[in-house]
Amino acid sequence: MSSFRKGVHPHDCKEMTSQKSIEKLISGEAAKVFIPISQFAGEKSDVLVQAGDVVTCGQCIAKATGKFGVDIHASISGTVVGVQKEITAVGSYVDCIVIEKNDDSGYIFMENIKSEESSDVITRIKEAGIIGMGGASFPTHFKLQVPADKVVDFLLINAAECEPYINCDNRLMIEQSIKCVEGARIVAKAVGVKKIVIGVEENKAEAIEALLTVPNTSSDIKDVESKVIILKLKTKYPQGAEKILIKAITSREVPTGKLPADVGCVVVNLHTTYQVFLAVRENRPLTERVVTVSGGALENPSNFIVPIGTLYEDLFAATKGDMDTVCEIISGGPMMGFTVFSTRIPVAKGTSSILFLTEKEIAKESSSVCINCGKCASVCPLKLMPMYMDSYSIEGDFETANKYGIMKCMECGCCSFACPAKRPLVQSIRLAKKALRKKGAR
Amino acid sequence: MGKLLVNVSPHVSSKESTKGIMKDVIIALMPATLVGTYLFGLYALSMTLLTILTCVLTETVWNKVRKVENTIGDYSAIVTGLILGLNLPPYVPFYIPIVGGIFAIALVKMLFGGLGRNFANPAATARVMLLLSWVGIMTTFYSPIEYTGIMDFFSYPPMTDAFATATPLGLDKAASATALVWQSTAMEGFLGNIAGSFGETSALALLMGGIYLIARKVIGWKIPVVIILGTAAFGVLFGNTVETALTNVLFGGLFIGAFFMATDYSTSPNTDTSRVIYALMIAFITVLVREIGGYPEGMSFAIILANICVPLFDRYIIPKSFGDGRDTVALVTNVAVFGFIAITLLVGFVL
Repeated sequence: MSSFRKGVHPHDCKEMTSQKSIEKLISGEAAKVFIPISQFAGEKSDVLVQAGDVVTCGQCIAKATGKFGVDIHASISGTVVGVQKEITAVGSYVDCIVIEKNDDSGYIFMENIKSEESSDVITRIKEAGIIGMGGASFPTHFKLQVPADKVVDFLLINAAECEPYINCDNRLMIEQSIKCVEGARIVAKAVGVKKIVIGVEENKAEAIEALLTVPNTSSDIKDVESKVIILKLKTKYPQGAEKILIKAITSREVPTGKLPADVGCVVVNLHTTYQVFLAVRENRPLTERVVTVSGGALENPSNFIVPIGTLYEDLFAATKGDMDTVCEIISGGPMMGFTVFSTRIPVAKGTSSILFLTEKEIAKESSSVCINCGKCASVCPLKLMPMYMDSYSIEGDFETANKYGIMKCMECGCCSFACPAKRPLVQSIRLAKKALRKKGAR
Repeated sequence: MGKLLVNVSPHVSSKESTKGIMKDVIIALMPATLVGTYLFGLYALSMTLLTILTCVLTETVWNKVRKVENTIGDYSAIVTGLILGLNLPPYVPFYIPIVGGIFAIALVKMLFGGLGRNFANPAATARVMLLLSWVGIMTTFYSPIEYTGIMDFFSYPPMTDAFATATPLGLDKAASATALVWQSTAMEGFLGNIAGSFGETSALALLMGGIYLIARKVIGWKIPVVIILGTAAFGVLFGNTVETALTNVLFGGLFIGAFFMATDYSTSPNTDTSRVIYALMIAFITVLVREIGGYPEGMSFAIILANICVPLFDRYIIPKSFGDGRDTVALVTNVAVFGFIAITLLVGFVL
């Protein structure tokens, strides 16, 4: 089975929502949405509406600017309240278009696409507001424009979903398998590649089965020239990290400082390909996404399809959570997600899950001295030496930390996870990286 | 709303802890402790318990004097005491464990900053210090009890020197190089029914503990395997006979050193490549001291000497990270070390 070396095996906790079908959030509970006009990456979009305007779901309400920006659409029908600053999951204020729901159930579809040729599909992806939905939120239209001097032969669909708790891609594969695979074919055509591999971790057996029932798919990598390959990957974190996934599937190693295209690969998240299908074949822009709402503090953890801009507190209420038992609220997965300090935070296009974890699940222990056991280095998928980067960072000697390759660290968290002394290695590494970036290190 | 934690990722962590690792080491040492207790009786066991007690008390007093939090809760002092106790000849006078324990904890461990900061293995260093200071006591070994009744367990050691004997390695040293004296068969050495230190006579008991540690992923397999096979290989080279190779592997402190002392986290290298070189260095010095040097035992010397080279390894052998191409240093090192061992053993044992 395909995999990579090193990494860790956190308890996957997927059973809480893996059997829960994707439900629509019951209308009325999302009385207001707060749609961020800039996502994590990309320029701010130009707002087309003003307070008092009545908009219909699917209507374009902000136009893309710059080469990274994408269009933004009304995720519900209602009246625009205005543009106001709201805190997002990363902890900074972002301008959000606020829409108050009305009882209009209409939907504005996009025009039919001219053709499924590369440039038309890429324009459609930008106009449908699609960005990477796995968490990093990198604009998809930009990713698919491979520079002319690079030869790409593989499209890899990232459906590893290696973070614990999250099931949104898993459920999409089970319930919408045809659309996921077709979406991958559309993307492959736009990029101009023949070989398509969908990588799924083995703990999602039901999803793998569902994908294999789609015509012209195969689990055998030898059929890669003619069929879409559904490749079973070992359940291991961080199998879904872009460079790691490329290594696991193709054995190619992206050289330091280079991009996937340099080794002939384009990697797209599964939810994103599903969204591409909706945009191209059903003329639907990105107005909603699947979000796993899970954690021990919830009575009814669920997978919801929610309008972009829905507040976390609406999802929390719908899952009957008990706030007294919540210890950490995490946007994203427990390995790389961000803790937030409020539930008044809108769902963004990259929000794959929201976790309400109890003290027991976090099991926070105080850190003690480094015993030099080397566990961090033995699990680092990038073969770095976190113990030295940690100690030099704490000493304030960032230059030496840089010699150990600290800027290559992708902050996957394996080192902190494995550390028996419970040292916050990622934290000190981030500190050093931030200081080094200020000095111009890359 | 309760209190919310805002924290840097990752938000979950493994169940492993420093304390858990130390517990595993203690569990892994139990077979050797039990075999030693059976072979040498209650007095020998009580000396080991005294070593542990001394280590724990020394660390407590040290922390009290420095007015810092007491660190004995991580169990590392117990591990040091236990390993040192197993390293001592069975019938030492009571002050030997006390001096050894204080030396190991106060001078080797705490003076350099405590857990994770010691420059060499505390137990190995204490053993060498005791050996150099009390040569007679530290080289007087006894044959295991020949049980005639249950009372023998309590009545040993007999108060005469009549039972004193040399260890197989000592005999090997005393005898001329051509006339190797096999006091015991190799099988007895493997089981432990030979003269020696309290806890290091039974290679089998130590091997069981070692395999437990490897299975629990507390230690890696490379250091112990390279030390054991490397010692056999150098045994062949230095002694020219298969018997020398086997004697070096089965008798003396090789197994306890390979599995429990050379693998000490703070004093062994952090990367696989360095570990292989480090382990081969221990094997080489061990055989060098045993076969050419003046002492019958070389393991503790070898471990300390390799320990103090670790900062050099860690400084100069930095593995290539992901995306930087093939790690040729690692490849060449592994091929060279394992190739050397394999060829030497093949030539020695087959031809």
